[in-house]
Amino acid sequence: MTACQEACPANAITFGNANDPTSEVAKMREAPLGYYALEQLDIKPNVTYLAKLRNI
Amino acid sequence: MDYTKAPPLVEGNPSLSKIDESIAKPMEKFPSKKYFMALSVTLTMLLIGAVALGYTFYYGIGMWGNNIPVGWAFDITNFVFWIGIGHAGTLISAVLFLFRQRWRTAIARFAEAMTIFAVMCAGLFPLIHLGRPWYAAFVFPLPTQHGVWINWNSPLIWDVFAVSTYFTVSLMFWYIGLIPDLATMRDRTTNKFKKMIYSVLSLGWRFSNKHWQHYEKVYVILAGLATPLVLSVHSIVSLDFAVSILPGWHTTIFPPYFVAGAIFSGFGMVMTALIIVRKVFNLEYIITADHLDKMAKVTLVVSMMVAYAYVLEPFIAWYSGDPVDWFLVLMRATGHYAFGFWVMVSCNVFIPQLLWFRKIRRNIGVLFVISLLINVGMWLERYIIIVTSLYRDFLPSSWHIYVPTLTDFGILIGSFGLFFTLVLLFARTLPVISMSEIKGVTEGAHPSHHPGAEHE
Repeated sequence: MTACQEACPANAITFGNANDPTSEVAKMREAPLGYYALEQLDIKPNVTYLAKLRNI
Repeated sequence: MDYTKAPPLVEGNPSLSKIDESIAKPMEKFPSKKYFMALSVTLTMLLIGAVALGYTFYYGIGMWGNNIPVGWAFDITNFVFWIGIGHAGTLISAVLFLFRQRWRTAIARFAEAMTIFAVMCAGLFPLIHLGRPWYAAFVFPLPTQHGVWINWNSPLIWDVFAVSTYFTVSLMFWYIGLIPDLATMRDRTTNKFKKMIYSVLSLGWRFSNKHWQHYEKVYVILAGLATPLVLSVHSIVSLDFAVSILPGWHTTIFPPYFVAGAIFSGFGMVMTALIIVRKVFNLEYIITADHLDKMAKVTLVVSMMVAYAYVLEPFIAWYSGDPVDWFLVLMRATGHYAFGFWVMVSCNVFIPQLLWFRKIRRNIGVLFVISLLINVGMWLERYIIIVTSLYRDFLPSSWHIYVPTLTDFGILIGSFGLFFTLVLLFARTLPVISMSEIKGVTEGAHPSHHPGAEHE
């Protein structure tokens, strides 16, 4: 857990081991809301963004 | 033109001692004013490069025009350019030897020396373009305390091995070939200091039968080792680009395209240098118009291969339907660097078409100009490939133009200064033509009962 993750009141960022399927980060990468920059290139960057839900 | 007999590889049927004398003359005679003028020009260029490098080391890579996204520009352009120049030397020296093309004899020593100097120039660039060049040794897999290996997945590391292998094998091949000539120089020279150096370097060569047998065997083996390097080294260098995902770089044609381009640019530089050398040192009867004619033909062949790649890349970009790739190909021809692109195409495709004509191939002046234009065109080719793919990559938000700085030009000039200084020093200290091999291809060298069977 990094300092910025701990400090953030909105839980805006999550760090972890993407190779560990039980970690929160891995779950967010798999989640439907998760996307990568330049996803069509299939290079799986380290950073996964979560799409914002606007209709709830 | 009598086509029933092959033209003699050494004109005028000189005696063996005349051959020795004319090849050794540049080393024995005190250099002329022209030589010192040439040397002062090249040393000035080298000095400009040293100053530019000093600025780079002191103030950092910010002195160059590199930015994000154009992280590679003159540095890698120059690296690929100089490695490419080296390939002609190895082709002439090793490949033509294995193909038993005896006309290579007059030009092989010089071409191989050019390879070594070109690889030395090229090797500087990966070192200086590091942000912290004092860590340059870490490109090698040294055992270190931090316990982390170099990145085996990276083509930049494959380059390290490819280029160092290439340099080592070329140096060995060149040196072994030099041994009989160093022995000749040892026997000819009267200067005590030179005699000591030549004695040490000639490794006790006695011109005995056994020595020649060993020599021929090692020479063939080294030629066989050097030959695959012509294909592999520039393929590895091209993978610097081809294994990336950038549009314009991510194409499988790069390895053969780069190898053909390297041979092309190398022959351009060899022709440039040889035309000067044969004139300055009065060696026109050994490096004949016939040799230049044959080199021009090889140049034409590889120019056609490069032309094919110029046609194929846009075609595949269009045929693939990938809008990003097609956009990039259009950008090359019509974007900010379009002028450079079209100069490149003219110099590499249209101008070499003149070499179809025997009159042109035999006209030394025109050949010299064509070879200079080839050098320009091939440098531009690497520049266009690198900069256009970087300045227009995937996201428009990353786009940024690249403009070279004076420091960039200074280092480029310095690399030419280093190369030509080394060539001039080489011409003064070592025979630019292989004395022993040339004697083997003069008329009468291989007497036989059948007339006209002396050389193929």
